[in-house]
Amino acid sequence: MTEGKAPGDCLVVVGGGQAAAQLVEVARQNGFAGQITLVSDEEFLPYQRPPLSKQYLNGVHDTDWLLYRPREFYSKFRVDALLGRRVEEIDRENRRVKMNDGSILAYDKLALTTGTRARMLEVPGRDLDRIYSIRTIADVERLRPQLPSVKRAVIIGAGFIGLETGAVLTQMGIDVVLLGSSTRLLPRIVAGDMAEFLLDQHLKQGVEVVLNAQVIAIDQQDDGQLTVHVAGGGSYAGDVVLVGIGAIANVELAEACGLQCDNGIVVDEFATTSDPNIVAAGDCTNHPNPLVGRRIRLETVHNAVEQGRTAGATIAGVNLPYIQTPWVWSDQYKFRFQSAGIAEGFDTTVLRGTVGSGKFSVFYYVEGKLLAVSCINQPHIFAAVRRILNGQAELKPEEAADPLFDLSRVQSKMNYLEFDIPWPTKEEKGRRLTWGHD
Amino acid sequence: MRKQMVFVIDMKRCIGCDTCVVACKVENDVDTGRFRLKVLDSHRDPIFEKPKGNYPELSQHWLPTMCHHCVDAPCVSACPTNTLWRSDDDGLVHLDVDKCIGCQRCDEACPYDALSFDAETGAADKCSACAHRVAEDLAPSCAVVCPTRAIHFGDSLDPESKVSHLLATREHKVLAESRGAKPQIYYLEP
Repeated sequence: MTEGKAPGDCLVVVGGGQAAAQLVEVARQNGFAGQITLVSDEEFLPYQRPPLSKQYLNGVHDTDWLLYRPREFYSKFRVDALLGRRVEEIDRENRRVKMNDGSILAYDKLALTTGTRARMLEVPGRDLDRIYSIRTIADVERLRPQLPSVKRAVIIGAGFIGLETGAVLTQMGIDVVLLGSSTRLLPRIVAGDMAEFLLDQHLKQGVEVVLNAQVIAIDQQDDGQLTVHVAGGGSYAGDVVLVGIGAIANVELAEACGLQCDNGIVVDEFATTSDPNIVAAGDCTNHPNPLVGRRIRLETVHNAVEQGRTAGATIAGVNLPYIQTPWVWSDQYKFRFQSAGIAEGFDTTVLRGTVGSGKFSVFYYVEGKLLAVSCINQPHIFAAVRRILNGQAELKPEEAADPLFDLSRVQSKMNYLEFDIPWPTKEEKGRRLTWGHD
Repeated sequence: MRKQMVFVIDMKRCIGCDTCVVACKVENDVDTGRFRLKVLDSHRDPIFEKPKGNYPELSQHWLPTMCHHCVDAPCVSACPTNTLWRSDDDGLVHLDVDKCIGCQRCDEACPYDALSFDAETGAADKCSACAHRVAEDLAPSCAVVCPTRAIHFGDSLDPESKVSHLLATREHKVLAESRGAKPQIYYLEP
């Protein structure tokens, strides 16, 4: 950790997710020496959310296992973590924030890593007991004690949260009904063979998958069971209802203080908002991505970590533009799904491998240009294609489809190990032998 | 007591025999085609070795390289799941494979090409400095088997250690210092 002159003396970080932890780490590593205060409305230090619907839900791991950085990190990096506290208001003119207990924190630099919150159902019955979302540790802590007595669960939403939760509950012996509002699973991410594979896997495990299901109401029966009603007359009963229908960016603080917002807090490639003293990172930002060719808002761990890194560097006065190919992963049953790039707008898909083998990849193209890839149990393809997308190298559809075509050669790793200052040559050393013993 | 374990590699002594490579693979059960340790030649090639220069002005040295256990490890910073982490107790970068999601971001971040990946799961693997041996006060296998005693391992914070003595008395460099990772493999002059 480098000590150095800080561009500002006091940094306040609002929000306590992975972006926040990464931001303070990189700010310190790049020489920010001022005071850092991290404010989170959760009772936990920054932790990893993806395991909430996987290893944490099934009870394999405890809360400490989720922590993104160990507790000692915050003392080592001199970060005051104010947990269970909330910033209510940002006063940009006087550079201070007002807390929910009325106290005031002054800042020279402010970082917004406010993340997202689970989107809630807008239907009658949405406030009944035993309707859960899975966004925070507290959400899972509420749900988990119920699970031993749950025989049947209804999951609303066929995105990652819905599918992963469905897989975990099925493996726990719970009957699962999965309601998706689109015509396929993961509608925003995959298509073609990949969508069919995912559907097939869940059906094989006994999940009752209902697509094109528009939820219109939830009610409670006399026996206590919840019933989810969908348009067209279908009803699905369960002991609990889990809702995974997306997330909403927490931009209210930013909007209220006049920062530019448009489907997220608008930032540039250095994570700087419309106020040069305020950076923002993670799920809550709308940021430019030259590799994708437009502004995007992402709800991924990669985005939180990497944009957090950029924001931390900016705080320390170092330019580290955030220009990376988006990627996601998901573990369900015994397969690992990995996706790089954004497939939206594709006109062609190319299959590499065979779906039946359980190891294959689907490439997404528009007008012959590679947009994205999604892979099942093919991590080497995923990594090679992400490098191709990062390097904006060309990959023809026929090359993508050919299992014998070595994708790793299209965009090689650029590492070449060398000493910054070479050792003296033989001549420089006075014709002395440059090896062996003196 | 806090330690900073480091490798010190004497390039004057290394003869490129690859005994360390074999010992590492045997000790850590490293799959065929994967390496935790490589020995590069003057042209940074691990396989086709040739000297630098034109006869009779030839020179040749070898460069054993593995995880550099960097103080500001880029892999730790890039890892989205805390699979890779640096211990304040021994200064080494550790890897909890059960947390690995196979994203291979560490591979993109590492300046030293120190990681390899399972073909099935994508799970990362790298030099652990034989942590299981070090826990029993034994040296890493590469250091034990080196026939020319080119590889040293010890605590650089202990002024009495062999590595401290070597670093105090011999000219040394680290690889790719400008990448800013503060690597902890020190190479003594060839």
